[in-house]
Amino acid sequence: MVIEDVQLLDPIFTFINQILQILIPAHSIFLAILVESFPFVFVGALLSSCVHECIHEEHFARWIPKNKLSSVVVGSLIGFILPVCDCGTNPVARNLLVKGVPRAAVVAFTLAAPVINPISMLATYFAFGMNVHMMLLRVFATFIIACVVGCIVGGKRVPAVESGIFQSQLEGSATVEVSHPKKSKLKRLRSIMEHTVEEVFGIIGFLICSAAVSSLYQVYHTQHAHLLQSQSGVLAVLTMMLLAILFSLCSSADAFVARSFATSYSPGAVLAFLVIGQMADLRNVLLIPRTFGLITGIKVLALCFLFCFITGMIL
Amino acid sequence: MQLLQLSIHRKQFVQGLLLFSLSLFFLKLYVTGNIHLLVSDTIAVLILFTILPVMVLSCAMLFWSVNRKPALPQRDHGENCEGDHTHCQDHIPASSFWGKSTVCLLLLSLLAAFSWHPKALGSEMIAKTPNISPAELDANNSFDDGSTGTLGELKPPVTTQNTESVVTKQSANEESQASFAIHYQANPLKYVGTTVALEGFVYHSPLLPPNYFILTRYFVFCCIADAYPIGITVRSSDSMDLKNDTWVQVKGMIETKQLPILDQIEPTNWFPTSPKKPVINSSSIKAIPTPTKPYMMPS
Repeated sequence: MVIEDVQLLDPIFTFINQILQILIPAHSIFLAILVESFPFVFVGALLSSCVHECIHEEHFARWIPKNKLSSVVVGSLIGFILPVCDCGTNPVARNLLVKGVPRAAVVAFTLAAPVINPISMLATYFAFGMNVHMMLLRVFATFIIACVVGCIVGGKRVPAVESGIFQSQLEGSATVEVSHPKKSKLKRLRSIMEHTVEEVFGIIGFLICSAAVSSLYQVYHTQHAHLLQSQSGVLAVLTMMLLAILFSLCSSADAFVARSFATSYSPGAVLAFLVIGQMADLRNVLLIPRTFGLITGIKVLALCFLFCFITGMIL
Repeated sequence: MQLLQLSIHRKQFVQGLLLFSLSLFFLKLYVTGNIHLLVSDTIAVLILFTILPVMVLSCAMLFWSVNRKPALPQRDHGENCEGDHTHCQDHIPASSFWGKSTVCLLLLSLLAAFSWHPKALGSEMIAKTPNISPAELDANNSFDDGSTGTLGELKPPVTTQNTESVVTKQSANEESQASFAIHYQANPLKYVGTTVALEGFVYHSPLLPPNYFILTRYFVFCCIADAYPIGITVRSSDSMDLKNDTWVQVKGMIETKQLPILDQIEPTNWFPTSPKKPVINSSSIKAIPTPTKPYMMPS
């Protein structure tokens, strides 16, 4: 009877052993992803806070031309000079619309700025082993999609006052605080530091969740590689796009998570992960309709999804 | 004498405390050298430059979270704000669900971080291979025919007396297996018949006989999430005494063998262009401690 009882426990011990064999290496990989991406998250948050505090939206409005095509190109490239992560683009976008900047340019800015900036580009370059190709592909794909989507949904300039929801949010928006022009240097520094901490804490929760999922998946895939085939084709691209939306990482951290999937998924699927993650993550799915209006917002998200999918399939 | 009323703003205090703990973890990784078990040298330098700013920021948050104000009776909070609400944290509404979840997640992560047992990646991260029948294995692979072999129709240089080490490991940072892999692919014949001394951990593949093992090290670009194993097959009568993940130094002569099965094993599939594979016929194997920098990195 005792021997039979012990034998009954064998499957349980085997199961526990299998779980531990996954958890122990996944623990190390999880910490590695966090440690590796934290400097980029921190520097991105710091720079974004400096921009938020020191540069007013009126400056943006003066730089952007009136012509639709020129405006989307300039809008897409603003992030290169003034890096903000996707957490910061929506508040800035709302203020740009109020200042009269063409909607096409604002849409292009919102979609491209989180990727086309030095921090994100550097993070992608490092994450893919000092490989400039993936970095350039990501920047190029983001630029093209942002410009095309901006041109399609641009239409006529819609004054912000016509969007009731948007207006009421503007009045309560934290960005109103930026227009206190006469802050002392010490107060400004404190403001930057507090904003940096807020941005870090806004990002780090998503980073932790995605690092955990990524590390567990990677270990499971490695230990069961003969059961799982390497993913390619439509399913691979769609899976990676869905993961990117769910993870909702910032642009300086997602490259490291994407890299960990590179052995299991096609380059096109990984690129789709990198591009859609900054355009239509969970945060933007909620914020973009609130910024541009429900119909325009849905159009923007749907077009981003479509073009990212096409990009992933082409590569 | 005016009394001071201290109040602590919880949100800022918690944020400061968590960031300070995180910076302490990074500092601990650096001081103990365990950072090299997680990330590459480049990323380790970036972490080093991040530690101080994060510590300063967290200390500032902790300092500001303690609100020192003169004690006043029946204080109406709104009157004391003097119009500048930027730093008046009491006006900020209570933390949202996501804010509290972030704090919990970061707490759990810090718990995971400080409870981490430092250990280099081992054979548990080498991809499992598909099952192959013994008949198929024997038909295509010559494990113990004793031949040193040639590559195609070309003959190797006469180097049977050559004991010069082609690739020797001089420090823990040297890219031993990776260098060998690159050099061998460029000019295989140059290395056949020469003696090498390489270090790595033991990996017994289920597809190889007991007197063979693969001397493996991971190649890391940024962190161990992108680690890729690179290995060289070793033939030794002592192979069966060596457990998986044991770090050893192997000295021996390079020979080639008909072993197309190595294309199916992750650490040895870096030389797929010929069925003849390099194998170290070991003359000595010595156990060594795990290096402080166990991974190979781009130079």
